[in-house]
This record gives sequence, structure tokens and C-alpha cells, in this order.
Amino acid sequence: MTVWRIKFSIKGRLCYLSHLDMLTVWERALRRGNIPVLYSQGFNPHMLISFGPAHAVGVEGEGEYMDIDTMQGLNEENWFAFNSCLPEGIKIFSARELEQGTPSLMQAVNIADYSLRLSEFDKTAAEKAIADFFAADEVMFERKSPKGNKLMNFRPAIKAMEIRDDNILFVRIRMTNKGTPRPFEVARLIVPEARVLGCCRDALLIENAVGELSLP
Amino acid sequence: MSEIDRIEIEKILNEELLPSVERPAQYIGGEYNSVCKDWDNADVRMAFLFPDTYELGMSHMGMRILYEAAAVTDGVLLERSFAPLADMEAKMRALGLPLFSWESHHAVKDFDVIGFTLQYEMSYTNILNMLDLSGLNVLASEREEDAPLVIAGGPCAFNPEPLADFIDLFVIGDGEEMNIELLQCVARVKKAGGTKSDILREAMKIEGIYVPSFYNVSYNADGTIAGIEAQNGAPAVVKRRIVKDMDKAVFPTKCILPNVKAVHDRMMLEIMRGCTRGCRFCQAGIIYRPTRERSPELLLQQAIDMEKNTGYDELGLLSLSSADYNNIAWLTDALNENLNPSGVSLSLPSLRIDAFSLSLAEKVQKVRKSGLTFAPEAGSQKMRNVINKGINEEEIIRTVAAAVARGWTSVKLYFMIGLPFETDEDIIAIAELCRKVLREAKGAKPDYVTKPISISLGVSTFVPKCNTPFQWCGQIPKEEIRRRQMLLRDHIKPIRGLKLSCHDSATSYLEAAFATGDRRLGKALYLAWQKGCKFDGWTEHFRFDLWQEAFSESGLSLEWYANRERALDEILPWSHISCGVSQKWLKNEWKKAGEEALTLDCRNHGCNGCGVCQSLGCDNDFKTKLPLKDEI
Repeated sequence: MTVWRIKFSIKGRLCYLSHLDMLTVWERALRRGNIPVLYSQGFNPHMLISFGPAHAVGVEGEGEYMDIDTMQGLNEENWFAFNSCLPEGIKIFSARELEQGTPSLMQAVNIADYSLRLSEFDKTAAEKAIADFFAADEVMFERKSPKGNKLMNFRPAIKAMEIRDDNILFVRIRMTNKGTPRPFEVARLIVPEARVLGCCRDALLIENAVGELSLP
Repeated sequence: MSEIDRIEIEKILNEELLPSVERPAQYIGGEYNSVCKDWDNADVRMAFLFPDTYELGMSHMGMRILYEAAAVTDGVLLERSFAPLADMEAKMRALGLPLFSWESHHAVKDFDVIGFTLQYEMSYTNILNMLDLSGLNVLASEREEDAPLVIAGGPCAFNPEPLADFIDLFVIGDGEEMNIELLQCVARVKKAGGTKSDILREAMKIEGIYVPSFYNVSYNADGTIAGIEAQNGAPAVVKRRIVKDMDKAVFPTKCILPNVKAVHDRMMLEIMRGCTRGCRFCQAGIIYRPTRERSPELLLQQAIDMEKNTGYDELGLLSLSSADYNNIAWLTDALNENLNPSGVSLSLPSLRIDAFSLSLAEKVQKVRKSGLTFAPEAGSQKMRNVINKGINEEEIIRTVAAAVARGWTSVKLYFMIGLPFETDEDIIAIAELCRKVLREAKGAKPDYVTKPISISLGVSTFVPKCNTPFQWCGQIPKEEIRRRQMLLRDHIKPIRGLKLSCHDSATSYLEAAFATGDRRLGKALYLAWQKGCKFDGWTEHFRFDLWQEAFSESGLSLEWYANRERALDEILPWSHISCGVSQKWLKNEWKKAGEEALTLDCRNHGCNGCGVCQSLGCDNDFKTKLPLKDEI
């Protein structure tokens, strides 16, 4: 048995698929591609696939990851060839065999980078809002939901943030068990007048205890 | 051309709608295996509109077949569209976005032909709504000469009359060849500079095409039909079109993989068309005659190809009575042997209640004995004879008990109430039968099974359908349906381990009116839609109060349409549409029903004279039985 860590992108309208529907897309593609994926035991065997942190519906991904358990004998080229079995919008960039004992994606990944494409907004005001954000000790945000509103401190959960190319808000978000800011919420906080026209998760990263970043 | 082009449609979709609607993935299109032909190079373009949600539409076999037929024909472009959910529709209307196609996002209005499939009478308001959402006038007579040709087909097209005001032409019968012929005819006439009237005059010459505006219907003082007169040289009777050789018919092995889970999200193999059993309530059993089987070797190849093309892990064998297919045992063995060993599960709907069917079910549900469904349809032997369901109580009990003995714990039984000649004793007999079934089943439960046995009853209300021996009888009144449901409930209640669910009586009431009504119903349909009726088949959307208003404002009596028994010499609204089975035979079957006399299956007992083979020039096509491996 081998565990492959696959890096891939999701572009275009396929980003509107739910996590579960996306899993189905992969399972069918893997079957079409005759990839010897291992199945779980039991009455309802399912493919041994695990994704990284779920992406929100409507968010594209440039550097998504998944781990797939397969039989031995595959190489990286097989995965590139498998691209032809994937629907338009999903593409594999790289595949590597994991060493035994590598932590799972869900355990390891704790940072996500997002780029939000915005409608017209006041760049100077936005940059000031960003500077104010990092100058503060805490920045409270009220998350509204049908089950009741929740007050969250966004400050420790955001590692970096900047305006790029006049219309992009870049934000590096820490995933914490105390609640992770959503990219759309960050946009609402920093540039409340702008509409989000598109959102892409550029990268998933691992931050260690001293704040250094690495790829999964 | 529309005021809005595809670029603009895509912009609104991407920026305004997809980020904000519920379950956006159903609207994105571009599914794996979907076909997007070059718009500008097509000779003719058709939008296939499924008058219900994407999840339901993507489960529809007929759409897959017509899609394939167009995909393999040069010059013919066919794209899909579905009814948007309420939130999507509201936003589309607010933003002025018309209904669009899922493939290229062209406005539906820009296609040459718009086609609806008629699977169920309760989808008719959705048809009007989708026409309106496309920016078209819903009334055929009010649409411009250059508006798309609006067509419809499917099982409900056998009584197309309630939709006569809205649809330009109907395709009656098997669509895979006829639809392409029609589209090529449209291309030809348009190329020669012809208008819609020219198209209609040409199209009516194609066998199976019915142009309702070419027929004049007159009425008697009592409301019944006095005559149906063909005009403009249209045929007096439109004969149903069929595909004679199923092996030569197109079949999609590259089916589209829906982006959100469809209701039936699996490979589908149509093993045969037609059924010879002759249950007297069943319309499908008449309008798909004669039975035409596909060769088992071909089916096996299609299944293998389909698995390669889709990656699906479930395969459904489709037909009206799967166990009747001559080579069903050979086929299930071959499929089990040749499909991916890592698990393609087979499903076999429409099984009979007998030992053979049970052994088939066992073959396909080796691991997961998820559940079995049988349809005894009626509780008493008398009623089963009335409807010509040739099974007896002992067989039903024995089969369910045997199923439980082999490890199944959940069994669903389907019944109908409100059938002609039914008395209270027959209703109570349903409860009695279930009591006996349950008792035997509990006794047959093997020790290793720990789950309790659950038997659930689905009880629907009989709806008389055109072209069946029961087309003359009215539906029992709504209050009487409720009374009989209560009676059944009272007798089921004391029996522990039985679960009962009854179909809504108001829906069945309307269904009866539209299944057997005439073209005057168009007025009520129009008013109901204007009042906001849509998705009538969905309990949460169904507004019977609005329908009642619509009927009373249109001066029509719902009761007259749904509950009236018709005289045998009455001119029926669909009498100018022939499915091939003779009305004389249907009348005789109606008479035999009253005598509780059975008519035997012509598959095994010789011709019983329904007339379809002679009328359509096509015999039952049963394929020779291949030897099973363990027989060699």
C-alpha cells in the first residue's frame, strides 16, 4: 500500500460543487482512470481518499491537496496521465508518495491563503483599514447565522493581509479551533463597500511553532 | 435573436446568481460527458426542457436517449434546460435573466425548437412557467411566427389535449428516430425560408407527429365531445411511432454525470421496451407495446462501455418488468462477471412477486440486502383479478417470507385504492394480507438477523389513464378516497410492524382530470399558472385552493372531468391519437374486468388480440434464451 499526496487546482464553475459532490467527482474519475485505489473494509466499502480542509462553495483553489491510498506500482507520470480522466476545471500539478507516519492533511494544514477579487473600492481607505487591523490587539467581528450571532476576534487568526493589483484583497488566515474567519467576512470587514466578484484559495500551508511556513 | 446574448447571461450567472442561490452546482452545466456543439455551425438547434428540477431531470432515461441521438447526428445541436428552484427563479426574474441552456448558456428563446418531456400531468404548470421564464408567450396562438417551435412528447402525450393551447406539436411514441427527423425537417423548411406554419404543415407528414391546431373539436350540450375534425390535410388519426429493432436504436453509453446527486444517479440499461402482462390500470403496459427486447450480448457491451465512460458504480436494469426479460439470468450473471470487480452494484426495479424474481434479487444484492419492493397492487383476489394482476395470495406471502429467510429485513409493498369495482371488503383485505405477510415473515426470520422485520405499505390512489381498459371509469370522489384511506388506516393501525403511507388525494384528483380531460382544460391550467401554481407534484408547493379557484373561474368542473364515468360510445378526447392497441380490445378488457376474468400474457400464452402488432407492423421481439454457464 502507498499513500499519494496529490496537489491539484479547482478552477471555474466546478468550485460550486459541495464537498460531497466533489468527492463523487473524484471517485468516478479514479474509477474511469483505473487507478488502483484501496477501499475501506465493511458493508459499505468506500475509496480511501482524504481531502485537506474543505473549501467553501464558490471558492476556487490553486493549491488543493488530497491523500489517496493505492496499491503499489504507480508513479508520478500515472497521475499526470490521469488528468485526462478529470473533468475540465480540475488539474493535478504534482503527486508524491508519503513516508509512513506523515501527519494527515487535516492534522497538518493550518494556514490558507486567499485572493478575493473585488468590485471598485477606495484603495487608500482599504490600506488604512489593514494597517489599523494589525495595529489593534483585538478586532471583533459578529458572525451572523440563523442559529444566532457569534462574536469572534479576527486579529490572532489573520497572519497577513494586503491589497494587490488594485482590485485583489489577499489574506492569510490561520485555521484555529476557536473559529476561523471566512475570506468573505474579512472582505466585509476591510472593504465593506466592495462586492466580492471571485475568490480563490491560493495555497494551503503549514505553520510551525515559531511561525515558519512550509508546504504540506 | 434575444435581447441578451450568452456572454451577458454568463456574466450575470457568475457574478450575481451562482454566489447567492441555493445549491448552485445544479445550474453550472459543463458536466462530464455533456456535449457542446458549435452553435454557429448547427443546421438546427433544440433546447430540451425538463419541466422539473435538475436532480429529477438528470435521472430521466428518455432525455439521455434523445441527447445521444442528437449528439451522433451531424448538424443537430441539442442542449438541456431545467426548472430553476424558487430562489433562483425569483432572482432570474428580478435581474431579467431568461431561461438558458445548460451547455452553452444561450437563451432558450434563441433555439429553433423547444421540447418538453411529459412524464407526469402535475408538471404542466411548470411547462407554462418555463415558457414564460424564457420570455415566450405561453399560448401557441399568441407566439410570433419566428418564435421557436414548441414541442412535447413522452407518456402523457397520449392524451395531449389539455396542453393543446400551449404546444405547437406533439411527438407521439418512441422519440429517438422521430425527433431527429423532425429537427431535420425544421432545418430544411427554415433553410428554404419557411415560417412556423410551413414547418407545421411539413412536420405533420412525419409519422407520429400531431399538430393540435389542425384539429377542430366540437362539443355536445352535455359537455361531451361531438366530433374531432382534421383540417389542413392533417391525418384523421395520428398513429404512434415506434422503434422496431431495439438493437439498432441509439443508446447512450456516454451518459452525462450530474454535478449534484440526481435522484437516480447511476448507469441505466434499457433491457427492453414494452410489457405484455396487461395489468388493466397500467398505461405504460399498453402504450409501449409490443415488447421489444435488446440482445443480451449487446446489453453487456453497452454496460461495459458505460462503466468505462462514466466511472459509475451502480447499474440499473430498466424495463417495465425486468424478470420477464428472456435472458435476465444470463445478463445478470454476465454483468456480475464482467463489470469492475471492485464493485458495481446492480439494481433491478419492477420485479414480479415470485421465487424467480427473488433469486434474481439475491444475485444482484449479494452483499447489501438493502430492501425489496413488490407491488401486489390489490389486497383481495377479486381485485387482483379485476386488474388482471395474475398472482395469488399464497405466492405473495411465500415470496416475502422467502425473502426474509434469505436475510432481507425491509420489504415495501405497493397497493392502489379506488380501483373500479372495489368495496370496503377489498380495502380491509389489504390490511389482512399485510397481517398474514408480516406473520409469515416474522416466522421465517433467521436467527443471525438481529434487525426487526419492517414492512411498509405505499398506497396510491387509482388514476384512470387514457388508452387503458379503465379509461372509461371515473375516479372515485375525493371525499370517498379519504374515507377509504381512513378505513385502511384503521385496519392497519393495530398491526405492529406495519408502516403505512398514503398518496395525497387532491393531487390524484387533478391528475385524473388532466390524464383524461380535453383541450378546454387549457383554460384552467392557464389560470392556475397565473395564480402562481408550479411544482404541483411537490407536496410543499401544491396549492389545491388555487387550482379550485382556477377551475371555477374558467367555468369548468373538476368533478365532471375527474369523477365522471364515460359511456362506451363516447368520443374520447384522445380518439384521434392511436397507440396501436384497438379500442375494441380495450372495451372487451373493461368488460372482463367487471367479470373478474383474467387475460393471459401473450408472451407465454399466445396472442390475445390487442391489435398492436398488426396496427404498427411490429411483432413482439423476444430474444432467444442463451444457456447459463451452469447449464452447459
